[in-house]
Amino acid sequence: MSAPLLAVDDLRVHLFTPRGVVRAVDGVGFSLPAGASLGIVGESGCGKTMTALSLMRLIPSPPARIVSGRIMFDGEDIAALGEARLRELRGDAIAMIYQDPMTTLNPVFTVGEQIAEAVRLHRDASRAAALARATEMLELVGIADPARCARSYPHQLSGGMRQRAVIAMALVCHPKLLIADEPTTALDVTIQAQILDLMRRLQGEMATAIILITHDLGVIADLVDTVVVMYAGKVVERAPVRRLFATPRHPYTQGLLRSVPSLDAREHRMRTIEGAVPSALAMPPGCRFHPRCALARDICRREEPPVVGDGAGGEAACWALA
Amino acid sequence: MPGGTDQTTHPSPIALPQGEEEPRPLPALSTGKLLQVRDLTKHFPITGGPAGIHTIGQVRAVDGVSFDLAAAETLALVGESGCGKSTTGRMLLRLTEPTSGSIDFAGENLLELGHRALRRRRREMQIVFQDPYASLSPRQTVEDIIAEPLDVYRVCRTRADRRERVSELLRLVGLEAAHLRRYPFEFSGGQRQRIAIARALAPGPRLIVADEPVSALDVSIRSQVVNLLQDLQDRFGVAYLFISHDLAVVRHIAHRIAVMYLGRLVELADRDALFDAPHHPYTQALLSAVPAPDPERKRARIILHGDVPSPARVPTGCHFHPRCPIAQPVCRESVPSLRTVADGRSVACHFAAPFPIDRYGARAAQP
Repeated sequence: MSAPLLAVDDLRVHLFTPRGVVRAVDGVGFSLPAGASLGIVGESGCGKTMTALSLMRLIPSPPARIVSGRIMFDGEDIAALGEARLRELRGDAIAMIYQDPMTTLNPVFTVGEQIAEAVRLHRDASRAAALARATEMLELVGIADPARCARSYPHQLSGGMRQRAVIAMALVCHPKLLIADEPTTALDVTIQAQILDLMRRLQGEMATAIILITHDLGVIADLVDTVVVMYAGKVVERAPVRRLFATPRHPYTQGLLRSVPSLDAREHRMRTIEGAVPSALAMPPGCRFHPRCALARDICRREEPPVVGDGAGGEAACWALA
Repeated sequence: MPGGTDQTTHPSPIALPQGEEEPRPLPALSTGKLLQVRDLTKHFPITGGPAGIHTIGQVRAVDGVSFDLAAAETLALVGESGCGKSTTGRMLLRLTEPTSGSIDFAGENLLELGHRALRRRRREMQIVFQDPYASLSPRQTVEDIIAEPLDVYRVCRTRADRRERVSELLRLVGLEAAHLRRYPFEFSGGQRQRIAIARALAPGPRLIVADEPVSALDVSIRSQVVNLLQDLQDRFGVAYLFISHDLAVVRHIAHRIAVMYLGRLVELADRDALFDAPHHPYTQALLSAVPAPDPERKRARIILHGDVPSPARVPTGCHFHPRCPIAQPVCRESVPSLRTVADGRSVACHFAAPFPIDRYGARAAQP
């Protein structure tokens, strides 16, 4: 196999706050072949968004800083690049979609102008050519009247249309990697179905690699090949999507999957994971999940768990598997 | 009585362990119905014109909604943003004044009550909001937050009694009495929602309107709070109007489910009946749109085209017809009434025969 498109190795992002150092991302690693899709799943504060922002070096700094690790993208280490080169990459080879399309779009420019901006910046196209390209993109993302949409301001569009416009903007330069941070969380379920359908189709057509960040296991199951499960700044499990849902190995993954109620069946009580995610400033020693883990033993309270492979391309960090 | 006395004739909300009071009995209503809502409507005026004082249109947020709710029952109100589910919930407490319709609560039409009488009645109707970061005052201690309804209704005679009751409420929702003196910022989202639930429970309500109470919570915390709501219902017989867009949670907690689209009810059925054989095309699309947490099941989706129309410009006839995969000319012209089609199931659709659908899958090919 050739080198993957993206290889993240031992990434550590710390936040230097007045109350102490928060290890928001603490030794995260994964890789992604060209054209593949990877999902990062976890609850609030697990570090999934920080990880995504680091991939484009968009972390708020200060207080955040990448303290170690490599982010190899297409032969370059993003963690070590200068600002000028980063600006070339952003919006061209790597693009990002955020949760709320209204905050992504600038309210005082038309949608067409905003999409064209990326083309003019990265492709040196004329204003007219860029606008024409923007209109094409809007058509590609399934907007019924693309020319009119291109002339519209964001407030004139519905939430679903805005998110389509944001996707058009992200894909207009044919990025090799698309990072989507909760792209459908702000949308209603029937609109979410439209957008997921669109992303699946475009990924096939444009051969773009996707990193999907979400807390919704249903969306993950729908769209990606490989899943990374994060808890309190660490990767607890990584596995192909079918394997992960069929036989989750880490106790947290198991608990998370059990906590999701099914549409098909109803149990008397919902399954839960007892307790709550620990405070970022007071992480428990050893395995960070041990205070909530039914399998916790002495060693879990003392030492960080080893990463154990499953011989089929997956791995999990747990003493119970060692 | 150590459990505290009421100024009114209400039964005590919480059975204190050492109290002499009985646990709150289930409401003994002759009809068995706690709440009867008929033709509830809310039109918000759109103002405009030269001075901005003329009404130039109406946002038909809620358009003739009717349902019943029994004691100790959970009715879920589901639908997408802007369908009027929250407005309906707020109107039940008259936090939003209805334009027309009637709300019969325990045999009394709430819309005819004066200010004082309404205030008395509201003791029995409480609400839990979606965002526990916005619904709790950051300047009040947990004790003062939870005791507020107790103070309003003068439930407690002494401070010790008040503290005792609040401590008991905290224990009921899974927090500790040690949390009494803390402020909301010291709690996580899930704990805050527990505080909001304790506050709603404090005056001993018979009905709690829960407006997206778990939508802001993480997966592992969400199920804890859902279990808590169920436990409290089992123990105190409180009825819930559970407003949610999360169909999986609704399947779990609700006894009956009402589906709303653009201000109207489109289907109302028992939980299993609704999930096993949705009749209305919108319900079918809604259920099939939920991504299943199971990569093995690539179920066929009914993908609706377009967006929900603006409630300021509602379509003629059936509100759903512009997006409906089976719409016929009649759907554009006449409004389908909500009619009972089978045991307890009502559907508002001209063609609401049970369409052959596989389980959450696409409708079988139409001839």
